[in-house]
Amino acid sequence: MDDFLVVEGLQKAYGKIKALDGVSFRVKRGEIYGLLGPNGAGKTTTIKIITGILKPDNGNVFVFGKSPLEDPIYVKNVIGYVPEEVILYESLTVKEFFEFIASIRGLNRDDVIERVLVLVKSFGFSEYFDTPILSLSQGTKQKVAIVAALMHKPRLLVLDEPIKGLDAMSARVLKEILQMHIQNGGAVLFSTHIMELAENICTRIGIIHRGKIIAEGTMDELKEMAREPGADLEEVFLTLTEQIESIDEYLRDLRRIFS
Amino acid sequence: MDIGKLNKIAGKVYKEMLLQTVLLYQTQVDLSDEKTVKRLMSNTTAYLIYKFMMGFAILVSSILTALSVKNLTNAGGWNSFVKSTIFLTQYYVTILAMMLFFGVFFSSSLLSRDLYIPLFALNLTDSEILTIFILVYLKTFDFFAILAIFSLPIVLIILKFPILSVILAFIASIITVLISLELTIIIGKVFREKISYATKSTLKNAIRIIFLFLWAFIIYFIFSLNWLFYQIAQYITPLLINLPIIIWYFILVIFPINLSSIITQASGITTNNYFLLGASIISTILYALIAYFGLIKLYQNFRNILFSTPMVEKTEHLETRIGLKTRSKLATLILKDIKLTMRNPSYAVTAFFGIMMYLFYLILYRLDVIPYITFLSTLHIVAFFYPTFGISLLFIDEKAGRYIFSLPITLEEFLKSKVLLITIFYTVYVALLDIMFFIEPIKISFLIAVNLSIMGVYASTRILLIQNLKDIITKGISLSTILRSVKRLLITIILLLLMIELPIIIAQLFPINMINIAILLGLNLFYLAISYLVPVPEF
Repeated sequence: MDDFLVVEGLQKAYGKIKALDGVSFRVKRGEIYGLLGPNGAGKTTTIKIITGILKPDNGNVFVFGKSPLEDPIYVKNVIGYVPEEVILYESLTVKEFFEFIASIRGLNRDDVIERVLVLVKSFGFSEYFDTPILSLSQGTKQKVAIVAALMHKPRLLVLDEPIKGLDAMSARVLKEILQMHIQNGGAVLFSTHIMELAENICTRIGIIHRGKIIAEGTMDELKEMAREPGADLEEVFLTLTEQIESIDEYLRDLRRIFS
Repeated sequence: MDIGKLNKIAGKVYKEMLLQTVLLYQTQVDLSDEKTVKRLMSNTTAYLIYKFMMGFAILVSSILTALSVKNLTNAGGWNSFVKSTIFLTQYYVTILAMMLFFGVFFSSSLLSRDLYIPLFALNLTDSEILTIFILVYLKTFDFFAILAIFSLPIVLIILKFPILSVILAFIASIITVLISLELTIIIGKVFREKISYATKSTLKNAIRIIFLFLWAFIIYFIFSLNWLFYQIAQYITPLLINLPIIIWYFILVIFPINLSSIITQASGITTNNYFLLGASIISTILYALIAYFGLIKLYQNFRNILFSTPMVEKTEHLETRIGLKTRSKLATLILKDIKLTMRNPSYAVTAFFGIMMYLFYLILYRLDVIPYITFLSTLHIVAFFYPTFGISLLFIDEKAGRYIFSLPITLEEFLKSKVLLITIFYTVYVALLDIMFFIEPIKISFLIAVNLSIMGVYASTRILLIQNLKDIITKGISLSTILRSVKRLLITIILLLLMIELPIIIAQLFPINMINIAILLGLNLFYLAISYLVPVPEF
């Protein structure tokens, strides 16, 4: 099966606010699919539904052919998820937290030790292994969440703004991990605001705006859609989300108040 | 910036602190939903209601205390002096207990530097931020701190007490409030720094647990002292009256007995012993100095909280200590909850509740303060409370509860771990009763019924949690909402009376023989079976 993730017509409303209005996309084996969108576009809601944390009002999600609503345990077992807002058990130490995750996921102690050791070293927080999570910086907490998401060798990684708060070295390590993951037959869905990152590592990009996927494709395909062949992703993004004209207007006003 | 503007900013930070406290006791719910957030914000008013209720209790307490002392002024003499001192001591202990309870409840949010981080980005000086911090701290107590300071002196004026006693009551109230404010921060800091976080040192962890138990016991002791003050006063009054004067010199330097003693003497109930009066006055001056220097220390503590960087414990070589242990899913969930319980004094009180009740009431029973029937009834009531603690355990994951449901855990496993943990806590209590039976025998029929009630506690906890779980997870119902719902409360009481209390009462009414034990066992097994017929809600 090449389709690791299938999202069909997702709809979700919070009261009167429509967060998702028919979101559909697929993530295939060997792909890094970037979900790009302005604030409040529906990226996190989409990801929460995929990971089984939130119920959609309408639409379907299939992870390796199984629905998170009908088979949530299977879906949560095959996904490695890093939430946008990393809130972990703050009074547990990093070691206790990893023990907790490894046990909940039913991992073999001997298998997991080497993997955790290498990951913790690569992300450079070995010295905080016995430190309560509360005392860690936001960036280190993010690294703890990333290692926890990678511990069980998931086939599909779902990362919501994973680079947020990471130092340059750790961001580089994460990018390399994502490349290795897809080379080994895995797939990645991640949301980000960082256009350069999406442009550099995504094999395909979906642009979500006002709860809908308004454009989808490789970088070249998106440029074609935006009719801007030489443009970078930022310009393509602003054109497709119809924000480019507003930007010109805002810039005019900004120049006036900063002159 | 003038104090009025700083006070306005402090008002905003205070509101945020209330919300953060609500969020601490709220878990799992998706905060993207505007309705849920509004509902949570409305819960912050519950804390204002508690504050007013406690203020009302102080007011009533001050009136009753003043009336009791007034009655004694006519009689006079040594007996009246002792009784009046006891009444006033109870009043000041009540203030101390209420303020400590309220302060400790908020201390996690109150002592959090994170609350003030947005202010560092504004054009405020360090001293202005410090002033805001102090104002927020005072706002937490404002209403009942003011009542605690003014209510007794005002009541004394109305009842036409001598002016000196009014002034002394005012000073004594200020000293008590200041000491309460200082103790709140000390206790809050102790449990943040010494209790909340485990270290790799076994010795430090053992000390931490002992510290936690002591903390829980002290808090529990202060509260029980209030509930039982009348019985205790009745018991100790004749003892105290007959104590040699030399011992009274020592008693009168204990806070707040010293304060009560000088107010009593200023009210006209004199002992004609100027050395006793001198001992009270000297110790009061001493406590006033402690309160004053404590205030300076409090200011330094506030500075440290705001402007110092927390120490982060580092370790050296990862390879030598990487031994990760893995366990079954259920054991992991229970162990995680035990760790969180042992690092949070509010929940630790839950874990130690039965043991503390037993020890405390055993001491009172042994001292003849309470009769056997009260002792037994108390042990009986303990079982009733355990399932309700289960509801508060649903909130122990705090904000991380939202993360836990991204892991492969079913609601059944989540629920079972909480139910089992409550049953474990209750079983420890029952085991203590079993062991103590050989030292301090209690009715065998009661002991058998309590042992069998482990099943009833399991069954009723399971039903109660199922009843509340869906609303907590999907609707964002908070603990205070659950407690305010009369319908929920009634259902809970009926359920617990039926499943726990009824079998224990039945066991007391019939002779203990194998048939009756078998019937009791059957009833508990029946309840256990019923609890599995109640469907676990779907997410």
